[in-house]
Amino acid sequence: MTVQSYAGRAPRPSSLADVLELVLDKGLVIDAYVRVSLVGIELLTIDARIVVASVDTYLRFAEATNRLDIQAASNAEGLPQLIEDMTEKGASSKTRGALSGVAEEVSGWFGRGDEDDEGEDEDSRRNGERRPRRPVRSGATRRGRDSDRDNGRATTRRRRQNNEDEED
Amino acid sequence: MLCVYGVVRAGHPRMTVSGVHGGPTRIAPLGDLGVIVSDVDDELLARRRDVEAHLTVLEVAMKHGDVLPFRFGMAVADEDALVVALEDSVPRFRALLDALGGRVQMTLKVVRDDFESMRAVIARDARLRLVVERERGSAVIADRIALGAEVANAVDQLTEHDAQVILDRLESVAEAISPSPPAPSVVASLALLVRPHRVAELDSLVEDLRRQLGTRATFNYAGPMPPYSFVA
Repeated sequence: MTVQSYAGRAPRPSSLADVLELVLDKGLVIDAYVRVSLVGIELLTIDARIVVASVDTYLRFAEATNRLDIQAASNAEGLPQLIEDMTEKGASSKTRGALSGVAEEVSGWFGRGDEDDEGEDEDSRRNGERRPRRPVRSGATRRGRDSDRDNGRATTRRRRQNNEDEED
Repeated sequence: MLCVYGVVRAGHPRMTVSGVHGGPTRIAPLGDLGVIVSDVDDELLARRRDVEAHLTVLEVAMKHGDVLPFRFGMAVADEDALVVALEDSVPRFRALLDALGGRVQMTLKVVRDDFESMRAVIARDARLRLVVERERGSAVIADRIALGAEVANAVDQLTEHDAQVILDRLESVAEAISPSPPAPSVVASLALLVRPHRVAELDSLVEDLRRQLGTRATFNYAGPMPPYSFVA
């Protein structure tokens, strides 16, 4: 099998996450009863969870509109460096100050904030399994989550934890 | 302990490629098929170098013929245990190998740039442009959420449109397409099963799409690789 090379194509996916999706999520599996217990694999939990990203996303877009040169956009002309601001790191660091109050309020609505998130990851990493999420608030919280999911705005965030020495 | 890499046809040439943990690979017989294996230490970890070694073995193997890839981390005690574990699957493996007939897997992941996508929708939607001009900069959080939601929805619509265009375009070359589950900002994440002689065609389709989407998306296009997504 020979395939001509082409500059826009790599032999394998470029990010470690995509490579792991390929070789850990896909491919043939040997029946469970002969599968040797693989410490490393057990620790590498692939945790897909629904996060209430919508409000955060909306605020991010609203913030971004402030930095948009509408005249330029309607002319479809290039904007300066603003693009980079919108990539996740820049946007969050830029908006963090202005929106920290909001973030608190939002995480209040849904019962959990970022720090909480990290703590839970530590726990699940240590135990090698997911722990049930602490119920924080009832009523409004649950309604918020559900309606969010219903209108399709909830976003799934995939998180990989790789508890070993060569993380990317 | 034997690490298991992939199933090949009998007569697959011997390869000189090291496996996970550096040991040489060999082909263990399985009925009229063969299984690529190598001796490994008792503890298998998903370390980067080990995962890459697994990939490399399969990439070398596919140069010499069809190979059905195992997931990383599959291991058995010895060759006897291998036969016990897999002998019932031989007919299925044979059928999969026959169906494969030289086809390879290509992957394409297209991730959108949120800001550029927003520019694109505002550029083509005069009504949205007016709304943004009128509403932006509000100090009221509810207003900001509402405006953000409207913009985000418009961006999502563009993303869905782009996703459909990508799928429609690539279906003409791919014999099978296996999409990954949706994820934030991912326009499309596809595994494509392609005949080797049509890879060049796929290359140019991807290049056209890349040009068409311009700055609002980045492309990660890879292959040929063993058909991980088409052996389940």
